[in-house]
Amino acid sequence: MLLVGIACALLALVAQVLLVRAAPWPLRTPLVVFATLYVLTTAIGATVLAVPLIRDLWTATYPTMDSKWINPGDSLGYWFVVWGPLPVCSVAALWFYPRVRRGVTSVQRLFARRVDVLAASIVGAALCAYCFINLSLRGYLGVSLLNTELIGQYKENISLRAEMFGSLGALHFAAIYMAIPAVAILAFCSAARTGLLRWWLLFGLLSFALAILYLATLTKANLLIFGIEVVVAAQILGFIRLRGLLIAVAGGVAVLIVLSALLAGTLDVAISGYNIIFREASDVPFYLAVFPAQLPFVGIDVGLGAFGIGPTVPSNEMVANFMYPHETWVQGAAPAAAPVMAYAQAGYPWAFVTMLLMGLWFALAGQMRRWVGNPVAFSAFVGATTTCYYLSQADLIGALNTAYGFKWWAAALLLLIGTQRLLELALRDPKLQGDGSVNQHENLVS
Amino acid sequence: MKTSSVNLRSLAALLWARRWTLATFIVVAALLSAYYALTRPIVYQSDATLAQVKDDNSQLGGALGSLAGSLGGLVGGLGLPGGGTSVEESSAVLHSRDFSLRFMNEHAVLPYLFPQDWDRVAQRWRPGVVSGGPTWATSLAQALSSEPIVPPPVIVGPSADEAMRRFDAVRSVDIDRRTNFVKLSIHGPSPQIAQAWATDMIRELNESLRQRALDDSRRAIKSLEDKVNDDTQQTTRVIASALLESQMRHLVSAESRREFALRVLDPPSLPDQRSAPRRGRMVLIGAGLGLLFGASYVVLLSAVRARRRPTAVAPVTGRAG
Repeated sequence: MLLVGIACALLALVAQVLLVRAAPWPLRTPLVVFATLYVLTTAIGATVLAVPLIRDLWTATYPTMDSKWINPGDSLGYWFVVWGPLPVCSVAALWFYPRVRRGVTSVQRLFARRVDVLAASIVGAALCAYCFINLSLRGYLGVSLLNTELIGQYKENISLRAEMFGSLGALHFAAIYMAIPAVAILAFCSAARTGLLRWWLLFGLLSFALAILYLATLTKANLLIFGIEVVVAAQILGFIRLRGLLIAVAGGVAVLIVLSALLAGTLDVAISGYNIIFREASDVPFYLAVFPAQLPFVGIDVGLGAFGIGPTVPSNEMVANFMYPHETWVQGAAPAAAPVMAYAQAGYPWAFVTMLLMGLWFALAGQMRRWVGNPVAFSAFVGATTTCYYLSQADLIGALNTAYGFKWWAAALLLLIGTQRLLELALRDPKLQGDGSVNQHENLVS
Repeated sequence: MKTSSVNLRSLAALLWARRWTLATFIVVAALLSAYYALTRPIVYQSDATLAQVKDDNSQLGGALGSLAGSLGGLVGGLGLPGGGTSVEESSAVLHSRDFSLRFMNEHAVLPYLFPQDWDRVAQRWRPGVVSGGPTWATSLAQALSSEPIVPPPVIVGPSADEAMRRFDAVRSVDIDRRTNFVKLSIHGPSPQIAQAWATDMIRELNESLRQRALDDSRRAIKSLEDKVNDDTQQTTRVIASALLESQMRHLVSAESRREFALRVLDPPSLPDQRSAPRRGRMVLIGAGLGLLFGASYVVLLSAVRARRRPTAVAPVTGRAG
């Protein structure tokens, strides 16, 4: 079965390269972002776990994990779930791409609006103020991953983070995961296009605020995700080429290693690299082993959990309980890519349908790239690409509907457009233009 | 070069032109928050620092001491009480529904949590303050459903769920993960009541856990005594005797220790200043919110007026910023 797995891996990788080459250029970014991060964080690790020697090493490096009863890579279904997303999603994306053009064009017209620095500053400041006030009201304002008191206190950090997730509320995390980055990316694009200092200043301030907010909630990975967003934006804007991209990736990994060291107290490059490959990949064999042999499929999540429709207990928590049965000091979670989590919901058919739906999302994101001339539309595209990353780390509905869901990115952009429109109406009185004559003169000159 | 009308100077000009409206908003909001702050009940906070009491099992003497020590693992394996409690267990009991509701009932906390429902003169809940029973939704659901719907029982006074929610604001338990010390904070209507509630809560927690340990130990002793007296196997009797000695030691320890689960390092304080309401801060925040709402109102009003009148200036486009 190991040979079957290796054959699947090779076939999927070759197919992915060919499909990306065949894809129209706007579609390539979503496909490459998903495939790179999925292969790096899930597929490679889940494949090499089928090698007995690696499996022994893996068992030894996660001593509290109960892996004696599972056998990674023991079925065709396992290899379908691990390597199927690459060709299936890409083929689906290529098929959907021309078919969603009209729909995306009509929606993108909504986003293709001008936004001035004043409107962006007001929305960005309001979002940041909300987060800092929320932290202050809940008593977490002094908390930071850089606090000497917290450095290396792994259990305390994780417990505190779990407590914050329960207490700060979804809106807080939606703001720091999606809404503020949406404004920051818009500022970055506007700064790059206009070269105006005020836009650079806004981008710098929002990035600084985001860094503080991520460190305050001890969510180190999100600092890296924001870095990826900026790198993707810079690459599209032509700031960086391949060499810059490699430097940015190396820098991002270095940041992750340092932040992991702050969390755990030990700086170990090899362990951090090992965790990138195996942290999420370790969850895959457990999903395949737990469902449906140990627990029935949890049911399809359609995003109506607030109305009591859908799974009552997240499958990632169920799997974590099987993985670490003796770790009871905090409720763990076993995150996995969207097709793996879809398998836990309703088996292989739903995993396949989810891959098709992911292809649809990649097609939508690809069509969005055609509009990146406008900063708001550009930001929407970067948000859609970020969701492509989240699809390699979370379930489909989660990537659209939870605190890190795309809906919050879109909501922030709509808020920006609304604020801009309101200000345009309120400030268009000529009497309010103190230097109106100069403006008119500038208009005539231009 | 084209410029936009949306800039800070234009916004400042608009706000300055409507400065009296803004000032009215600020003053009214500050007055309203001052009124609110002055009419809020005064709350005092009493703090105590507690530490887990270590079980002194290692001091076990006697001939069977070493045997009991070697059987230490067996004690847990057999499900016999081990004598000690963890801070997590103490915290869980403090947060538990059973302990909290009992404490609220015994220390008259409920009238403090629901002052509007409590008749101070008659010393009872006002008429009509009931929880549970059928609601219009359950009646409607019953009419639509063929299955019988059983509403929650009618209880005079506020609901237990609501009481638990409000009690969370009265009692706060923080565990310092590095030192394992527990910080207990209690809010009360007066310094003395806050301190008394904190003291009583610590005492009752220790009593509750002590009683639980005593009951467990007594049951274990009874069972082990039967084993010692009745079992025909000498080896079993020796093991049972060792476990019996261990359980009796736990029993004596539980009966004699004044602080069973949590030891008081710093007793509940008698606060000399209120913890809430912070009136100055509330007025400042109110004034700030007034400024925010005032500015929003001015901008909205200006936008609405601009929509109504014909466009004076052509919409500006071009370079952002």
